[in-house]
Parts: sequence; structure tokens; C-alpha cells
Amino acid sequence: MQERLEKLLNFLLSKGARYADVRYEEHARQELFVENGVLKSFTHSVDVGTGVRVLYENGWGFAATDERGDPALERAALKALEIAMASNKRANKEVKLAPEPVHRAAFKSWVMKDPFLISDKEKIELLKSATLKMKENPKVVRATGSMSFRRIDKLFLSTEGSVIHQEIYITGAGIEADALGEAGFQRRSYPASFGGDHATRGWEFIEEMKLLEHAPKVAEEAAMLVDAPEIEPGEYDVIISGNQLALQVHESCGHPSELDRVMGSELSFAGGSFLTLDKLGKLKYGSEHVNITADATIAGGLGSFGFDDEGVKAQKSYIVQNGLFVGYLMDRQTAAELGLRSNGAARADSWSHPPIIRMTNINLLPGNYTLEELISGIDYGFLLDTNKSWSIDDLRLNFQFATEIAYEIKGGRLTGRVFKNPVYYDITPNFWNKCDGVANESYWHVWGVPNCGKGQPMQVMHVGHGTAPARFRRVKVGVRR
Amino acid sequence: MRGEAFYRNLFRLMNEHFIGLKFLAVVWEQDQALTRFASSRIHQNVAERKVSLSVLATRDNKVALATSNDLTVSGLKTLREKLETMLEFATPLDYEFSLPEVSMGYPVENVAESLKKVSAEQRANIFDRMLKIATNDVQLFGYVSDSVTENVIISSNGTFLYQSFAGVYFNVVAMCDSASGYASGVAKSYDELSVDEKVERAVRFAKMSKNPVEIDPGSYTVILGPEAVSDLFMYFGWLCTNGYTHELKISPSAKYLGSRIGPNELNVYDDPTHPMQLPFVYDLCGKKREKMAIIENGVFKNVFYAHGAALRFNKKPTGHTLNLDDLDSSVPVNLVVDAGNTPVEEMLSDTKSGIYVNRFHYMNIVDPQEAIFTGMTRDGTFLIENGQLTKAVKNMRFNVKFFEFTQNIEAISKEIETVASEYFPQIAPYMKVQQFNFTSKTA
Repeated sequence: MQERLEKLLNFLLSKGARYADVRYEEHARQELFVENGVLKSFTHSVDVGTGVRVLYENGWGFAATDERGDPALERAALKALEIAMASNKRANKEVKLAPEPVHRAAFKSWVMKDPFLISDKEKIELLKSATLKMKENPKVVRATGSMSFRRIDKLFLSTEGSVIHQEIYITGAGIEADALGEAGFQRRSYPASFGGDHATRGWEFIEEMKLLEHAPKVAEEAAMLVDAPEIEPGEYDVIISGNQLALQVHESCGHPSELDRVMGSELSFAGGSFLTLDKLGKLKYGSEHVNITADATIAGGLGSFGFDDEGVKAQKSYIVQNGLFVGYLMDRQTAAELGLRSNGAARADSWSHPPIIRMTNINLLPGNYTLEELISGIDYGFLLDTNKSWSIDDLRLNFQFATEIAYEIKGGRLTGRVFKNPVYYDITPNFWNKCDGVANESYWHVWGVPNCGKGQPMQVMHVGHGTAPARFRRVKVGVRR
Repeated sequence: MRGEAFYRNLFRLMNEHFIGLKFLAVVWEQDQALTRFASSRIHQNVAERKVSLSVLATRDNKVALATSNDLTVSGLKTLREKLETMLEFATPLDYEFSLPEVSMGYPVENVAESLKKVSAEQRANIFDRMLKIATNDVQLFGYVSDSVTENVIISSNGTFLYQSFAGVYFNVVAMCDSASGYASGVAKSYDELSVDEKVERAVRFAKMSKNPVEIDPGSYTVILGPEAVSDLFMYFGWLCTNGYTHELKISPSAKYLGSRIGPNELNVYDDPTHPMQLPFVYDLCGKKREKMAIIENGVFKNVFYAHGAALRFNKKPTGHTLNLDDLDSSVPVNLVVDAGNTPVEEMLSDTKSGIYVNRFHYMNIVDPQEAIFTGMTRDGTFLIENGQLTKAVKNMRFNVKFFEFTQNIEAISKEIETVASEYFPQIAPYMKVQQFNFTSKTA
């Protein structure tokens, strides 16, 4: 295949392309969904194709095809070139690409047990057992469990001479219980909501989740929530758990630090960013406890890889350091505009889409506290756990999150009382400046978010967020309706 | 595109290579191109061509689904092998499963000739047209896109259905300093796409949006534009019309179905026959899709049943099976919020005090039991004073109970528009609503 793609790139250079790259990808996917002990959906898919990206003078073009022969590849290449020429006619700005060394390399995810070699029976039995365990609770009307496995084999070549082969595995699972009572219905999820947790690891990641052991507590908490009270709206000290903070970091730090968004490329769809260029190195984004990195090198993180889809080597860089906003997520074109090297954030969700700036693993670095110490510093407040809903404005300032559960804290201790439908909201920098402690490394975990949507055509990307529980003072909780 | 004849041959090949296996197969083939612009220049310009063949196989009341984009004989053989292995390990469903009944129909082709060979240059010409409408102090951000789709349904019991459809879409955000306006459009071909009028509106709103005033959160009378109305009803359609969650009583429909939830003139349909819709004629089980009322004369009339949910709860399938990997869930994909009786000019002139909302941003479900939705205003929010849009307003966050919102609808406009929503085109009017709950403002 490599030879065929090299020939294609040479063909494009001969037609006048200034730069071109090509990705041939094979995606295999298996998904299982079990409800109340019954296997409801069992799917396997294979998706193979090639995407060609061309820069003609100052215009970009991209074309993708699932046809496999050389004539089809040539047609796709010519189409990408034709599109690039149409773009170039309207170009009013020089396109520069930040320099990147030529890489001839291979990368494979950190997989101990290949999930595609684990028997289907074992996977099905685990989900059946976990859902039946949850269903034992009489209030649970629907107990579900899901697993998802992906293998992405991709070959990247560029006219600059890079040849990169990557084999990336993605493994994920989760369970949910829906409980029903006279007061209505409530859901509890483990280890996270909306499909659970995911990583670029193997079957060992599922084993470590201990789904079966956690199932009874998931069901019990769903049942408790049905008759639980709601929090009286007001300002409270809160601890936000790791799995909720993952989404908080995602929406209020990850997305606004995408430099294409800052430069307006996403304005008509997902919006812009308050982290404008004048704020770089100047904005006090959060308190001194807030250190946020973009790190694609974390072993097993869902946003980890060897090279991004422009052939830039995976890196770690700071976005927020000791509370100060210091860096963006960049691709080669936006990095060049700042006179920097790309930090390797150009990613495509498929052979059929071009790379755009995406999160890698965006992490709130651990602090020095134990969870008990964080709790002991709260006279009255709540521990908020597991995302239920999210929304943020088009500049990533005004956010509102709902979580599945709030655990009451009184006199520095958890009381055992739970509250349903908790909602908290704030303005991004105000909120992060209220952070007065992050739990230590032993609580830190890289959560996988497998469904981050961005771009037109929409691309759904897998990204990671390393977080530990953190404490925030005087946060608005509850909405008066 | 491969065309009907190619797929008739696939039908023959599948029945040859899948002998002894009960199956339902669905093919999606799409040619899509999209030209994206920001700061009044094209920054992304793409075309993709892709196909997928999904085969749902069943044996001993077990089901398995395998998908591939290799439509060769060798690809079909690999699919069959995969399905056989999966069926070996699958476990039976807890209701009696059967494939949909045989469904036959004429090929449905809804692709304008002019769309079959659109070039990047033609899309860029639309962008050029937009630029001419914008003045020098306005920058444009958005996209122009076209797609041609083929959908084929094949089954071991003899079903062969072919439908092809096409659409052109655009959206545009006009920026004037930090002020913005928005418009979007959908049509069956570029000839039918009303770009100029909508871009003019986006530009006008951007210019009007300068120097916004801040107002306090609270309950206000609002006039919602079609973009905002369509967002609210899209979330309602997604959350509240699924027959499966209704039967489990974990949907708001368990409480509200059959109730009066709004004024007589509130009528909402899933309507593939509406002339302004891009029709999706058959669902993936081959069930012919027909106009069905969701809300009729203010009463919440129907929820929908996908193939699996219908079998399980002994209901008739309603033509809403849209995923073979989820035979339970249903979504109305041709949503139409019908026109009312009030001209939009009259709606505005009758409003002494209120807020006009052009568009919402990043809506989500806060409480799935009561259908409480949140989101932000965006790209054109104005104070209404004595029947006029007077000042721009800084963006606000709302939290509304959908079924209170519908009870508070005071007027529905005669005018309706097709808007390019995030997922499917939708048709919606303007609405005047009392006591719309804004809960916070942006920085």
C-alpha cells in the first residue's frame, strides 16, 4: 500500500500541488448492548478508505473514497486538487505550515490483552451478570450495559517524506440503572455516564472496572435518588468528582483553547472562544491550584497516539500553568501563524474527513490533598458526581452542568444523604478561580470521552481528560424555575 | 453513485450468498461535498464518497449485525462468516423476534439532475454571492454543502426498496465587530435555495446586534424565530416521542401523552410528504413513512414505535426504525411545526415589551423526566419595545420545562421556514411565548 500511496503523492506534486498528505485507514469495531440480562444489540463493523489532502498554492482541498483500486485513488486525488484550486481562487491569505521533522515511524497502543481476541461469550456474560445484578433492585426497571472495541490501523504519508504506521485500540464499557417510583425516574451510571469509560488500552481496562462488583451500588443509588429531595438553590462549597470534572475541563478549557476556534474557523457551528490571542500569557484563568496540560503521550489515555494526522509527533504542553493561561491546541497552519511548532492536535475521526484541531488528553494535574481532606474543609456543601447534562455558550464562558447525584457534606463529613437533579453554573474563569484544592495523584484517572463533536461535516473524536476530585468555593447550585 | 441496477444485482448476490440465513440488509451510499468559510475566506473544502452495507441476521430468536463497506462477493462472504460466528455466541431476545414483513415499492428517486455533477467551483460561486451581499464591515462564517444519498433495503424474504434523495444546505454567521447574526437554509437543489434573502437577514441582524445591553435574568415574553423554535421541538421529538421509553414509563410522554399541552393552533407532525421537507420515504425496516401527528390541535397525540419496540409491546411499527443497531428507539426525522394564524409582523407589533430570540446555542436536557431544557441565546437577541426591535441584548441562558413552554404559547406565525438543524432539516414558524425563563446571563 505504501508504494501505491507514494505514487499518488508524486502524481499530485507533478500536477502542481505545493503539499499533500494521504491516510489509508482500516477501522474495525465491535459493540455489545445488554438490557436486563438480554443481549439486545451485537454489532461488528469494518470501514476502509483513503483520504487525500492537497494544498495548491494557498487553497486546501480534501477528497475521500472507499473504493480501493488505483484508478479510484487517482480520481480522489484529482478531486482534492480540483477542490484546492477552487479554494485557492478565493484565497486572501498565505498558508504556511509550521516545520515538522520527517518521521518514518510506527506506533501501537498500550494493549496487554487484545479485546478482539477475547471471546464474545465472556463479554456477553459479564454484561448479562452486571445488568441482572442491578435488576435485582425492585425499583430498577431498566438495567443496561455496553461495551465497545475499536482497532484503527492507519498509514500516513506526506509529500515531505513522512511515513507513519499506527495501530490504535480503543476499549470502553459502562453500566446504567434506571429506577422508577411514584416520584418519577432517575438514572445512575458507572464508571461514567453516556457509555462509561474508554481508553486506548485492551481488555485489561474492562477487567479493572470491576463492573459486577459496582452493579449493586449503582442500582441502590438510582433507587435512592427517585425519592431524594432537590437542593435548595443557592451558593455552596462543592467538590466535583473526577468523572464530572473531565467534562468540565473538556467544555471550559479544552474547547476554548483550540486555536482554530479562536481564529474563527468554528464560529458558524460550535462557536468561538474567550481565550483570544491577547489573553495568551496574561489571563488568570484559574487559581494557583489549576494546572492544565495537553498530553497525547499518556499511556492508555483515550486521546493518546504516536503522531497526529498531520504527522506531528505526540507531545505534552501546558494550557494553564499555576492558573495562568499559557498555550493553545494547534495544528501546523495555526501554529505557523503564532510562529510556533504544532503541538500535535490535528486529528481526523476517519479516513473520510480531514484533520482539524482536536483535544488530545486535556488534564487537570493532581494536587496534594486526600479526598477526606477536601471534604473536611467544607462546613456545608455537596460532592457532585457523574455528568447528566452540559451546556456552554458560544464563547465558552457561561456554562451549566447537571450531575446524576449530589452527596451532602455537613461539618466536614459526608452525611449519607443524597439529592437528585443537581445543577451548577458559573462563568468559566470565575469558576476556576474558585478552585482551592485538587486531590492527589492516587485519585487521578484519565477519563475517556468517546463522542466529542466538532466540525462540518461533523467529526466525532475520542479524547481523554486526566482529573482528580477538586474543591470549589461558593458555586451557584440549583436553578429557580 | 452506483444506482438502482447495481443494487438489484446486490439483492441477487445477497440472496445467493446468504442462503439459509434470515436477514435484513441496509445500504447507505453518500456523495457529499462541503465548502466551509471563515473570516470571509474558504478554509476547508472537502468531498467524501462512502458506502456501508449493514446486515441484520437472525436465528433462534437471536440477532447480530455486521457492517462493511466492501460490496464485492468476497466482502459478502466475509460478512456472512462474521454473522455466523456472532450468532453462535449471541443469546436470545426476551420477546419473539421476526424480520419485517415483505415490503415492495417503486424506486423513489428525488435527486435533481443539476445536483448530480456539482463542482467545487459552483459551491464557491455561492460563497462569492454571499460575499457580495455582505458589506465591507461584515465578515462571513459558514458553509455550503450538497449531498446525494442512496438507501437500499434488502431482505431474505424478498424485500427490495430503493430510495435516493439529495439536499443542499448552508448556514452563515455574519459578524460585525463582535456582533453577529445567523441564518440557514435547506432545499432539494441549488436552484431552490433562497440564499440572498437569508444572508441579508443575517447581515442585518449582525449590524443591529452592536452594543448589546445587559438585562436581568427572569421571566419574559419572547418571540422565537424559526431556528429557535425548531431547536426546542427537535429536543422534544427526540426525548418525548420514543414509544420504547414511553412503555417503560421513563419518558415524559408517560405523563403528558393524551393531554392538552398547548393552544389549538399548535400542530406538530413527522411529515415526509411536506413539500418543504427532504423526504425519507421508507424506514430501515422498509415501512412506508407517512404523515403522523405528534401534537394535534394542542393535544400530545402520538409516540412512535420502531420495529423492535413494536414487536415487544404488541404495537404497530410506525416507520421510525432508523438504526439497525437499536431496533427499539424512534426519532421523527421529518419534523414539521405547522404554521399558525398570526402574521409575524402583527406578532411583533402587538408586543409592548419582550425579547426576540433568533437562535439558541448548545441546548441540552437538564431533566429527562420533566423535559427541562437549557441553552443559550446566540446571533441575534433583541429587546422588543412597543412593537419594535430596539436594542441588542447580551446572550442569556434559559431553563424551561417544555410542557410549560407549550402552555405559554400565545401566537404562532403564518410564516414557516426550513432550517438546517444539526441533524435533520426542520420546518418551523415564529412563536410568541409568555413567561420564558432566562436564568443567567453571559459575561
